[in-house]
Amino acid sequence: MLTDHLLSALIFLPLVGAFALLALFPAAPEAAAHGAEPDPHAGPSMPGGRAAAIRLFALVVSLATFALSCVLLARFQMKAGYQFLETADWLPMFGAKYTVGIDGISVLLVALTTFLSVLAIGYSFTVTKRIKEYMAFLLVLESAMLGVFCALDLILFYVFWEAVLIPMYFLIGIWGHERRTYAAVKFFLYTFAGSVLMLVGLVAVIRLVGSSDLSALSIPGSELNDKLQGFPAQSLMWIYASFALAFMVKVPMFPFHTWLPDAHVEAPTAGSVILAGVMLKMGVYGFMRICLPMFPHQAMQSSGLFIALAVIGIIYGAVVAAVQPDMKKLVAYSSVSHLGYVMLGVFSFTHLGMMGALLQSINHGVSTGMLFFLVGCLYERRHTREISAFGGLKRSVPVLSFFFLVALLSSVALPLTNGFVGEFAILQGSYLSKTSGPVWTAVAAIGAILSAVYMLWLFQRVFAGPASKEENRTMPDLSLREKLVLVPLVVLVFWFGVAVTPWVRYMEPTITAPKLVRPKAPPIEYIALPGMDGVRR
Amino acid sequence: MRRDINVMAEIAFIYPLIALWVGACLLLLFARPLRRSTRPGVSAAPAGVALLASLAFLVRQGNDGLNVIAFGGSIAGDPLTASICTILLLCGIMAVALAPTYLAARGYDNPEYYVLLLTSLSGAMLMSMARDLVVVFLGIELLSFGLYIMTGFVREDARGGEASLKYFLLGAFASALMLYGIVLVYGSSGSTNIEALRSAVIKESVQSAMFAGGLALVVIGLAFKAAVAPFHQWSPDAYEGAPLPVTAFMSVVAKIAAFAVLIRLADTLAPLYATWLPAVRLLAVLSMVAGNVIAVAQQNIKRMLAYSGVAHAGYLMVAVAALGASHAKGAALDTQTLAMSGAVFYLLAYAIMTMGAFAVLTYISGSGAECQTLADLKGLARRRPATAYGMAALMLSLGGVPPTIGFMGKLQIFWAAVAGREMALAVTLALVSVVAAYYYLRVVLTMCFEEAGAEPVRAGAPRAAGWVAAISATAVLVLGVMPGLLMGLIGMVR
Repeated sequence: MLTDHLLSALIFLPLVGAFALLALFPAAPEAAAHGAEPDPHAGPSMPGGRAAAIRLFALVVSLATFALSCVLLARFQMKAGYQFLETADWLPMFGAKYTVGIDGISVLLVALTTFLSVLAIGYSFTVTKRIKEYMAFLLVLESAMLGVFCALDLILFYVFWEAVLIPMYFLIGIWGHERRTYAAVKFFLYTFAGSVLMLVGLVAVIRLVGSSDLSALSIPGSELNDKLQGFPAQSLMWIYASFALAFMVKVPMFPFHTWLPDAHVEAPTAGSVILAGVMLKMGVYGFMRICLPMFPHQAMQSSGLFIALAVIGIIYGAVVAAVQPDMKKLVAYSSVSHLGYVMLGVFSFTHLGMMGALLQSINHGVSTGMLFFLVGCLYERRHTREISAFGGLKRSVPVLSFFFLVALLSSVALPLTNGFVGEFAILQGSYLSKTSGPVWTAVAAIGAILSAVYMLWLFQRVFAGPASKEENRTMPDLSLREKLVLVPLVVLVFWFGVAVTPWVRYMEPTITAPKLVRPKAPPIEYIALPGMDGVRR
Repeated sequence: MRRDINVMAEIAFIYPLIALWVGACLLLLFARPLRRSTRPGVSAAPAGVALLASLAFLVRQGNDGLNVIAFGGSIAGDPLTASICTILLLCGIMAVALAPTYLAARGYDNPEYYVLLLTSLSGAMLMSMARDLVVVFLGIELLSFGLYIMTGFVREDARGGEASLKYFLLGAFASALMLYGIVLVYGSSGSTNIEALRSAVIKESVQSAMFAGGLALVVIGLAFKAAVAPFHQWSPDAYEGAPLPVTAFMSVVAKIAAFAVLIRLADTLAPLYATWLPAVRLLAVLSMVAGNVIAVAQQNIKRMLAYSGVAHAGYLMVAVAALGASHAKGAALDTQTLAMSGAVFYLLAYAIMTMGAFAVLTYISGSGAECQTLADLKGLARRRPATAYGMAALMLSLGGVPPTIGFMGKLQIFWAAVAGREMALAVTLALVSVVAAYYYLRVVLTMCFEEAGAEPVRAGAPRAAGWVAAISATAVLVLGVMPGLLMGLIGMVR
């Protein structure tokens, strides 16, 4: 029973958990009667035991979801094609079905989602404001994100895709920092604007081929996919553009990145982690699942533009990150830079580049998630994110400094850390690629140097040197709970950095499946995995 | 076409209307004892019974009511009629539930209110049955006169009186235009029967400018009732001035009835698409853009919902255009069905969302002054979390964000537009819905993000309105995930 509906159980468990949370812990009667508490920041607004129970409940739900995803990883067969498929009738008037399934591209993203959700909830135990709503929204968010990665029906995909915005909007808007309202609205409208046109494109695709079955449409060479290729190139280009725009905003690629610094900076720590760790990957996933297999010629034609934007993003993100006075903003801009690499890998159209892109998506979730957690820790201690307010922390908080150093090295892609594996594969793939080639790769590689510049400079200003301020000298080090949140991330940093092979096995068959990155015409030569071994060893 | 008339069968067809009229008459007859009673709801209960009886008659007709031509072809039943009448009756039941406590708190819980409501609703239903322009006109007048009076029903409220007068004057003007249009149509074609007009159009016996002009005036009259830009000027003032339960009723019922006729005209007179399609496209774009853009500037939620109603009318016009376009471009028959069922689905979605939103406002207003502005909603999530998140669901649904019924409705309209190859309209709809998201989200952030104002929870929150709000908010989410549950109702169209 469970094995038949494993994915559905995985997707909806957090949602059910969220509703159970609301049902099990009804609003305290006196709070409802007397309205607002005088000061929401004053401290726990409800009896301590109740708040603790709510936190624990949410944590247990997320842990259970994570356990299910571990079952998924264990049962996943290392081969191409969709697994754990489930289908049920859903919208008869559109012929849309409830279809979920995963393949090598999505399985690791699913695992990343459940993993980071556990950590985000575990980290958020210090949140006191409206704790029940907060945990409920985090769980709903987890459900929606899992739905995006598992949906194999275009309409279902779109529903989850948009549904993700709602809990995130509330998370930023209620629990964010000073400019939270502005950031929440900007986040919602920006990404909503990016995706509404996708809805038109999506309906157009379904009308053209007469089916919304993504599990067939996303397989090059399938009957439906061939049918789609048969339509006029110009209409396909428009439809492709509508999809690509939505994904570009989400990733975000260079000119559409402006929502990201605001949203990341203003979001609460857990929100930033989920935003950077998982939500940006939804855009990457969209390119890999929909744009490339469904519109191969259009993607190929536009690859020059995308590579240029990706490389501009790499350099621009790194340069802008370097001059940020705000730590969180620095990490946010570094995401723009890192996601530039990911997109470079995707649009290199080589197996190696794609694999690197997927790996780097996971890596970025781990390393940037860790950075956001650590910045959150610093913020909780000092209530500021200004770099200039810190200095000489490595004496007062040695453990925190150590974790920060690990996250930093992973972020600048030092060998032995996860960042190196992904970035190297991307650059290698892009070097060998016919679409990007050595010149673009060389320019992109400058970004790696720049990332070392801004990250090391950040470390130097925050942790090194004399502790000039009293608050910095007496800062408490990481608590046990905070360490528990960070240790799994450190383990992953080195696991991916030293022995990535078991993880590559998950994605390899899908990405190297004969047709994933091969349009039928015009004839373009693809590099058949010369560098694969380079990754393995 | 059955010409051998069975009088009883024809009367049986209008039992749903008769039930409403009987209810109205009985309420009038027993008005004096009912007025003396101080318990709220004592007049609402008979009205509710009349509505339920009407609904029961409609359900009992079942498939028999889907193929009836009655009273010399002036009214007829088909799936469109049946689904529209059902939706209208559901709206009527919700509107009746909203009223008693609200009116009682202001000293106006009189039986006359429900008499007006029932007759108005019967007018709306008559419009959806009409196959003759004269009957359409009759329905509009029956609908409107009730609405005019109900708008100013709380007599001491100066704004209500002003709204009522404005609505009446502009409405009378629109009715006159429409009547003139009917006359022109009759003068050029010799008939006011829609089916007869259709055959005349097909035979190309009427292509005169007089006929087209007359038809245009009829459409303008309907556009006025549906608050389609640029004929929407009355709606913000009328919405704002009318008591909340009346605003809820008129915003939904008038729009549904007018669109029922517009859809019928577009469907029946489809061969004439070349004449009206450009005009419908223009109305659709104007409505979508003007409604959404002006709504952004509103601080008053009733006015905001009025302008958003204009925008929703624009979305519905897209479906009407798609209906004609699928004729024009020789698309498959299923695209016409899609456009029609899409429009009906959207009407139902709009009814639930809007009714729900006004029910929330009625609920939180309690027995005090109406909660109308954004400031009144400030920090509502702290005072009444369930209400605030219910309202948030309704707002997101109005904005067309999944997983809500508003999204499913919008998806159907996109579908119809793409199927009718009206890509420009589809893209316009997509872009303006971003603007719409902005002002709906503003309501959400005012309720949920901002810390509570000093205002305590109001006393006397009407429980029935709370139920209407709760049911609407739940329906918005459940039907947004599983719209198939409605297909029994909507699938009847065609």
